[in-house]
Amino acid sequence: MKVVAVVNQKGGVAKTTTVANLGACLAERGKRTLLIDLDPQANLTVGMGVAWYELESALHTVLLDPETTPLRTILKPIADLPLELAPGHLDLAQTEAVLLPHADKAYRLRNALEALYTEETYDWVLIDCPPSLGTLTQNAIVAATHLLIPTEPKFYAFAGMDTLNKMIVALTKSLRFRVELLGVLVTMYERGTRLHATIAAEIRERFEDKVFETMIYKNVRVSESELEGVPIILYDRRASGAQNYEALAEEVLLRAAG
Amino acid sequence: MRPDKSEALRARLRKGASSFDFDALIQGVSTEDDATEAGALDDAISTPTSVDDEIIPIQIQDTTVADDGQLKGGLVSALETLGVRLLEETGKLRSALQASDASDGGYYLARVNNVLELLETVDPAGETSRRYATPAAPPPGRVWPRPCWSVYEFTESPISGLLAADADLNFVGDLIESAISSPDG
Repeated sequence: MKVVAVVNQKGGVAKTTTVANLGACLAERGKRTLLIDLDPQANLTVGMGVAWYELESALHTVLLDPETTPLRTILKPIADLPLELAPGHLDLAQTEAVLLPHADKAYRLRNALEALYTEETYDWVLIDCPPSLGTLTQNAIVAATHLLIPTEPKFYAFAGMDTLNKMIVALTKSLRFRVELLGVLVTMYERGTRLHATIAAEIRERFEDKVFETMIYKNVRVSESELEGVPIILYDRRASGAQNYEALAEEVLLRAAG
Repeated sequence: MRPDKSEALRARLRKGASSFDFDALIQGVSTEDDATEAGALDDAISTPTSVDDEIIPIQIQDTTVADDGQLKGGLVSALETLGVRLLEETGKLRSALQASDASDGGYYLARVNNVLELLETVDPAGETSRRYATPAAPPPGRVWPRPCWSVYEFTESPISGLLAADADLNFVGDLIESAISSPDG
């Protein structure tokens, strides 16, 4: 089972969109896939057509009291695919405060996923991280086997990844975890914009083969699919956004196999 | 963009990013086999990272913009505007926090965060702001405080110095929740 934290402390870089659509593309290829919405904004949950405010229990209850609420009890099936969602909730913001005094606060999600390893329930787990480097993101990194970093082709992409690098180094001083980079994904790319081309080339120069060949282009159909509460491949398979994520899924599977 | 401009941009990018380090990300990390004691786990989060070490309190007092006849471009004007807005929003945040009002506090924290994100984007190291003494410019050797969208980031941030003396973690949780759910969150 591969557990991928989709992480970048900058908001608006298509973390949620990537989790939703990469997850759907993997599931369509027969890979049993679980999406985890760790962002208190719960955009992934809403984008998958689940009303978080109607839920009695969601990811926050799993993190706070895993014995009473095991992860499997909150899962929601998505579409007609081998795809499930662990929904997020606004109360995840409160969860950070409650967890803060606990010594195992960074291990809650990893512990919750432990049973999935044993039962071999999923091939892929994708975690949508909040746009911050707080306790929830630390939970994702400690639980993950891989990181996927979506980034816009803008200069601050470098500063953001430098900060993430610093955080990972800091975490190695006191936490037990093992994680490797699955890849850096250039998102929000605008065709014909040489500024984007230049910065994307520079990202490739620094990260070399760790950058996915696939780039995610700006595509309004993806935003429309989120409003409809379905992944883009189910909304409009011919849209460039759908084709981008199909290509990304192929590349992810190749990397995982290699 | 002409080819020579593209090359110039790449040169600037390389210069700006040359001090950045991505080694841990690129190579991956593993501490699974290390003999880390469970009792030390708490230190990982209570100890500020090197990023947090660099951040400093926002200067709340008024700052006069230098008017030494230097030509000020659009960037400096933008930094002046953002600096003024940062001072205004921080002042309102402080008032709300002193009144123990998590709802209003969250609203203004979201606005402070948005200004800080913009400042980080246009002047990441705060150098231009310092050079032109724009309002709230960070002092030498320091950068902007990081935006706080989580309890951890807030408790580690100098912005938490604006809290009332009796504020507790539950209040901070309410504050962050309000910030996230505010129109600017």
